[in-house]
Parts: sequence; C-alpha cells; structure tokens
Amino acid sequence: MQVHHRLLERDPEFRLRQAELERKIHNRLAAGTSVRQAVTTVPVVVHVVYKTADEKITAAQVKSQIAALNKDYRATNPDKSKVPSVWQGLVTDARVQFALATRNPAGNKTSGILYVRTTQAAFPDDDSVKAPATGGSAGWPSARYLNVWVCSLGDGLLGYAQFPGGPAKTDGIVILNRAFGTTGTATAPFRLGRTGTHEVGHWLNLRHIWGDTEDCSGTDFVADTPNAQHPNYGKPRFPHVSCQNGPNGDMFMNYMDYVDDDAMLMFTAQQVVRMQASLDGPRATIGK
Amino acid sequence: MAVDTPREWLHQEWVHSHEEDRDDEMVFRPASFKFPPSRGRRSIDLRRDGTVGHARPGPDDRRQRSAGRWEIDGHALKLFPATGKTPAEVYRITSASPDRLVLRSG
Ligand SMILES: [Zn+2]
Repeated sequence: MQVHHRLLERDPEFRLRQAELERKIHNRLAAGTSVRQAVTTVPVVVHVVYKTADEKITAAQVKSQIAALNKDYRATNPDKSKVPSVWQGLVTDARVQFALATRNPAGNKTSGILYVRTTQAAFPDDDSVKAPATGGSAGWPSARYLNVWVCSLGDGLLGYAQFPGGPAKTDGIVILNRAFGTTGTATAPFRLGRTGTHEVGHWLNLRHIWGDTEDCSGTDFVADTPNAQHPNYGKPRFPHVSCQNGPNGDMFMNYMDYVDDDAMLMFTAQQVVRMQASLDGPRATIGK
Repeated sequence: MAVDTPREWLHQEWVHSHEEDRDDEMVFRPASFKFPPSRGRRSIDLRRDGTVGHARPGPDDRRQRSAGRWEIDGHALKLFPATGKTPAEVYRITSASPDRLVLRSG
C-alpha cells in the first residue's frame, strides 16, 4: 500500500488524524457504546467509468451491489448460516445501510449513478480513476457521500479503498466492474458483491484480519477476530490454523479476509464497534 | 531439484499463483502468466544483482512494495531484509522450471 505510506510521509496531518482516530476508537472499545444507536443510511454515488460497452454496467447491476451491501451490513445475508457454530454468536448487524444518492451536491435530483467515458483501457491502483485529468471522474464531497468508482483495473486487482482521515478528493472505494454487484458482468467467484462489502469495511476503518504482516506480529485492532498469519484465498476448509490460533484457527469467513465471495459471511461485534466509531468520528457527517 | 547456481530464468518476477497451492506448498508463476482476478497477489522479483523486489497487498488492498536481498543456499531460497544478516523468510525450493517455481515454508 505504497500510497498509504506515501500519504503518511507527505501529509503529517494524515498521520496525526489516524493516531487521533485510533485513540478515540480505543476509548470507544473500552466504553463499549456508540453514539449512533440507530441505523445509518449512507448516500452512495457510483461513478461508472467506461471505455467499452461491456464496462458501461447497467443500473440494475449497480442496484444489485447496493442490495448486497444492505444484506451484509445488516447481517441479513442468508449464507451467514454457514458460519461455524463456534462463531455464530459473533455475527453482528453493523447498523449501516446504503442508498443511491437522490440529490447531487447542488441539490438537484439524481439517480446516484454517473456514467463517465474514458480512453483508459484499465486503471492502476493510484487514484487516477478519481480525477478527470487522468481519465477518471471527480468525487462528490466525501463529507456527505460514499464515492464508489467502478472501472476496469490493471494487474487483476478487484478493488482498493481509502481509510478515514485521508484526502477528501480521493476518499471512497474503487471496484472492478466484473466484481461489482450480483448480476450483469459480475463474474464468479466474485459475483456476490462482497468486494464492495470488503472495501466499504476499509472505508469504515476496518483492517485485514491477518493484521497486514505475514509473521503474526500485526493486528487488526479488533479483539474478537483471532490473530492470523496470511490472507486466505479461495474457499478454505474449517479450521485453518495459524499463529497458534487453534483449535478454531483463522476466521477466514470474515468479510475482511481475502476468500471468494461465497466464503465470506460476517462481521464481528468488535468490528462493528470499530466501524461505528468511525461514524461517530471522522465520518460523523455521513448520513446526517 | 538443486539450484545451487541460480539458472538464468530464475532471475525474473515471480507472482504467487495461490489457486495452485497445495498444503504447505506455494506455487509461483512468471509475471506474464495469465492470472485470474484476485483480491491481491504477492510477488517476488529475484534480480540478478542479488536484490529482491517484494509486492504484496497492503492494508487498503493497493499493492505495497518493499526491497531486500535474496540468496540461494542449497535447496533453500533465503529472503533478507534490505539491511541485516538474518533472513526474514526461508523457503525450500521443491520444484523449479522457467514457468513454475514451488516453495515450501521452513
Ligand atoms: Zn482489503
């Protein structure tokens, strides 16, 4: 995550904001309560950046992604029954839902879907899809909207995100068109909209369950996900033990691992506290 | 196979083809391999000058790059940090050919 480090180095304020956010989350985790008890509705603007007809995905495909997010973030996804019984009690409603924006920043009616033509065959993971000057589409004010850019990505990448506290201009998530939604060009094993679920998790400040190191030293700053060594891919068989986390092993069925869409099923209680802390803090203006 | 003397073709960027992994064996393919989409892939660029370029998925899923050194010792591939004499990772090369490199932990 070169860009993240680059931001930390070039923008000391970003480092300060991140440290301050971690301090607040720590206090919140200790207190165990959130300011927002009700369900937050996040207004979403989807920038469909396309060159070919295939990349110009339909409104139905966009809406299928919103529907998938609404299931996963309210823990109403039917496949949560596949969570191993030892962790069934940790499956938690994040109290967040999503709706395509109905008003643009000027206050006029909108479908919440922007179609923007580009000459770029594919975008790298460098934020270029987020600016017209580099063939992309400018984000709407991130204090009010979740910006979602949908495009073709290079290097086989499915998506990337930006944590709270970063630059407003690039705030939001980017998702490969073929991994977006549950219909149209969405392609298995990434056809259940879970790339969106995962990236929104980062946007609400969640970290990967392996803690972003490969030697068990890292952490996701969440107490109820077991420490894990590596990302898990595909459809792992339970249990997969690493970092002395037996007998139950890695919580690879968590949305913040790297498994296939049909193998990720849940957020935990503490992950929800962490997400709600970002809605009480750096994302306090969202859904208000 | 023994790779005491690194073959010419070993000097390239190897990308983790995790779909092909078996048990504790990791399969790497040249960067030119036709990989399916993935949430992220690790790669190791084994350069002729003894340096290695790492790329792996970072905390926000963008690719994160770092550098170090590499060495072949018998059947072992040793990956060192940019500074320091203790390898950060040691793998046993269980199979190697120009289009497929198989590593086992330990
Ligand atoms: Zn991620």
